[in-house]
Amino acid sequence: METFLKRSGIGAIIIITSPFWISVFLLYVVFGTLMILLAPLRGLFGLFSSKKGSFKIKNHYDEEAERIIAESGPGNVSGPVNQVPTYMYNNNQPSNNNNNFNTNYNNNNTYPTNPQQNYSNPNINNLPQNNNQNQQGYYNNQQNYNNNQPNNYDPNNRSNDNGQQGGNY
Amino acid sequence: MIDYIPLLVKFTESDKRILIAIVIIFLLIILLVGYIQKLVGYIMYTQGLQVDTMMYDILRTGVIVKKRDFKREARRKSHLYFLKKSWLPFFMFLLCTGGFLLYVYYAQNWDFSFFTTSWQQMSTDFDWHIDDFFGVRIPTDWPTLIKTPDFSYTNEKYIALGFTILMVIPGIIYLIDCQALLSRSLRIRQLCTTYFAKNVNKLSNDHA
Repeated sequence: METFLKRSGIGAIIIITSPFWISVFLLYVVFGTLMILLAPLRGLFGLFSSKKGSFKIKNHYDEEAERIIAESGPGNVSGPVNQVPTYMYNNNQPSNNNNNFNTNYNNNNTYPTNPQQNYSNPNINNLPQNNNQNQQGYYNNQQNYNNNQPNNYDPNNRSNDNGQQGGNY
Repeated sequence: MIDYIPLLVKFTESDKRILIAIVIIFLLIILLVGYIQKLVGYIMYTQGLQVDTMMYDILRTGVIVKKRDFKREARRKSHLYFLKKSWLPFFMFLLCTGGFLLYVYYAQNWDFSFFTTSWQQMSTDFDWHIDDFFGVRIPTDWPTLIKTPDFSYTNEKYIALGFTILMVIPGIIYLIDCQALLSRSLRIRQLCTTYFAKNVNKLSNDHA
């Protein structure tokens, strides 16, 4: 019933505002026609101007992007708005390839995959007893495992480790 | 409202049925338009995703970080994509229109009567039973078929049919391309407000 009413309402609104939508569409048809008719003229001007390849969809932005991707390797480019929360890739298993997905990611991460490694780690006794299975406790354990690793963590950024320094970010 | 109540009371049973039928038909039309809007919205959304295809690598690598540059580059790409896709149907449409006018010129048939009569012969005709309903003349019964299409060969008939097909198909393709251009413009506008929005929630996600 709700869907029926919603669709009916949208239908009524569309019927009422149809002159507006039709006008917008017709304006685009006229605009497109003008664009096609003026394209040869534009091409003619392009012959005499210094701009090259004005009718190519790919331009220097695409070339630069391709160059960055080629240098970084496929799948290793982090965008300016990486929406993946930090904790999601902090829990990844370590890899030795040049993964620059996170610039703060330590490539020499030796997070133990074998449980026996825990006993050979002298820091194992310093581990907090973490009966709480929340994610923050998991971070703390991980940081203690990797105390012998170089510190590339920004000490001013205390938002992710409850003020602890020296852990892998 | 009160003035209408005596009018409703005066309705016969047949009138009430017709009134209910009209209301149902009206509701169905509104509902149909609502679902057509849903379909058109989906088609336009998929057409608009072409912007994402063209701009994905540029945004992913951070080559463009300013909204103004994004808008300019996305529009440039969208317009060029439109030119590449629609020049052929547009010139086919122009060519067919030119051919049609050329035929009209040689046939000296400037009232286009050959076209209308040909299509009248190739179409069906119904006899609608129209009656008065509160001063409005509306169909009150199912129509009866009085003429079937006649596809017997004559030059004029098939020239009219050929020109119609050759003009309508590229015309529809061109209109779809125009719709895609509009969809891409809307998508660019949408991305400008979503991708470049300074949303604090993004920061809170990253430092959760």
